[in-house]
Amino acid sequence: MWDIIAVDISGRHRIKGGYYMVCAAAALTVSANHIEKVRQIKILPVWLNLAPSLPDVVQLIEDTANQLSFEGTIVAEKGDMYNKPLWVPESMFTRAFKYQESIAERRAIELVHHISLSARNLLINELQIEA
Amino acid sequence: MRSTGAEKVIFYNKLSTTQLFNISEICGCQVIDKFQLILEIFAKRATTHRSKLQVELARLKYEVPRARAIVSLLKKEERAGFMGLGDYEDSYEHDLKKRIARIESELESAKKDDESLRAFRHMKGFSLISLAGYTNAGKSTLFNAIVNESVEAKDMLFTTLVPMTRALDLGGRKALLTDTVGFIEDLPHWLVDAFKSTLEEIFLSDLILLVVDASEKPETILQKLSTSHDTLWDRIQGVPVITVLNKTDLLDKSELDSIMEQIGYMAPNPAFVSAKEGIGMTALKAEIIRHLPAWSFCSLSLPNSEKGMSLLSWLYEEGIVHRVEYGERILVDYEARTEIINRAQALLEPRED
Repeated sequence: MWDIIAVDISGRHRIKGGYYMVCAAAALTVSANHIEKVRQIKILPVWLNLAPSLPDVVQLIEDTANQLSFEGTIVAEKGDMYNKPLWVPESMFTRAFKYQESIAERRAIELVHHISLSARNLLINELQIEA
Repeated sequence: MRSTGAEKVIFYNKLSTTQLFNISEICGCQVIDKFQLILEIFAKRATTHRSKLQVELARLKYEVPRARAIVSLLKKEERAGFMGLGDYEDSYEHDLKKRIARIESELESAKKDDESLRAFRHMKGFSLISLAGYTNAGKSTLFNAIVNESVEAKDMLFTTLVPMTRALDLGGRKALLTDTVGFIEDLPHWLVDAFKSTLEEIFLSDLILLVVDASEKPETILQKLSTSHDTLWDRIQGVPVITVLNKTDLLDKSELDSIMEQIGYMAPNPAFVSAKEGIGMTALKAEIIRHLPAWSFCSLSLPNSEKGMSLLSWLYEEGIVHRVEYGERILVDYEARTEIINRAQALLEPRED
C-alpha cells in the first residue's frame, strides 16, 4: 500500500478573456491495481489572463496539494506537464513527484480527472462564466 | 565506422528518408532505424502464410510515404518517358498501393475468421486468458509449461508472430490460453498487423497474465512494466491482471524479495514461476482460477426422463456438475456461468400454455 496524491487540471484552453482552470487533488492509498482508500479531496479554481506555463501549473498543483492534510507522492499525467521528461517537473516540485505508472495510479488519475472536470463545469455554470 | 568496420548502422530514433539517405551516403553502408530493424526481424521469423503477408504489408506501408522521395533521390539525373516528360515516382507509388490493397483484403478475411472464432468460444463457455508481456520475457515457455505442449520457444526476440491458442482445464473449468506477440517500447501498432491482432486478443480476454523477466535489473523491469501498462490501460478497464514473474530460478529468495520491494507498486497479483523448471505452476493456476469471472452455484431438479437426461448431458458440457442423485427426479448440484444457469432454469420451468 502506498500513499499518493493524484492531481489533474481541467480547462487549460482559452475561453473568453483568459484561462479558467480547476485543479483537483485527491489523497489516496493505493495498491498495485486498486484504489484502496480515498482519504481527502480538494479542488482549487484559478483564473489566468495568459496561457499557463509549466511553473504556473506546478504552483497550482502545489497549492491544491497543500490544502490536503495528508502526505504522499504527487502523481500526474505526462500531458499535464507538457510532456516534459520527468526530471524537469520533478526538480520544480517541493514534494516527491512522479508520472502515473501502475494500474492503480492510472485509475487515480481518472478519478481526479472526473472530479476536476465536473467541478469546473459546475463552477462555470454557477459563476456564469462565459465559455 | 572506420574503427569498428561495421556493415550496418542502426538508429534507435525514427529517421526520415532524407536523413537515412544522407547518413548512408556519409557512412557508405546500410543505415536503418528501429522500425526497420523490427521489420527485418519479423521478416526473418515469418513462416506462415499469414505472417508473411503481414510482414509484406508492413514493409509496403512503411515504404509508401518514402517511395516518392527515394525514387526522386535515386533518379535525380534521369527523366522517364518520351522526351523525359514522365516521372518514375507516380508509377512506383501506384504499384505499392495496389499491392497494399490486395494484401489488406486478404488479411481482412483472416481477421473476420478470428472474430467469429472468438465469439463462438466465448459462447461455448470458455474463459479467455491471454499471455501478454515484453518480447523475450518467456511467454512461449510459460505457455508450454501451462498447457504441456511444445510451442517453439527460444531465447530470441519475437519467436511468436501469430497468436496461438490452446485449451486448458482449470479444476473443471474450461479456459483458452493465448500466447501473443511481445511488446516493445513505442509499440508501432501500425507497423505490423501481428501487433494489432495480438492486442485485440488481449483486450477481449477475461484475464491477462502479464509476464515479466524477473532476472533483469529492477529498473529495466519497471520500464518494461510501464510500457506494458501503457499499451494495455486504455482498453482493458476492469479486466484483472496477474503479474507473472518468470525466470525466478536464476534468483535466490533475498534477491527476489529486494526486487519485489522495488517493483511491487507496479505488479498487481504477483505470481512467481520458473517456466523452464516448471516451478510455481500450481500456485499460478490457483491464482488464475481465483481471478476468472465468477461462476454461480445452484441446485437443479430435472425430470427423470429422456428430456431430463439430455439436459443433464448439456449441463456436463457447459459447467461443473458437483453431485448427481438419481431418484424420481434427478437432483444436480451445479456450477456454471450465470447465463447457463438462467437458461437451464428457463428450460425446466413448465410452460404456461
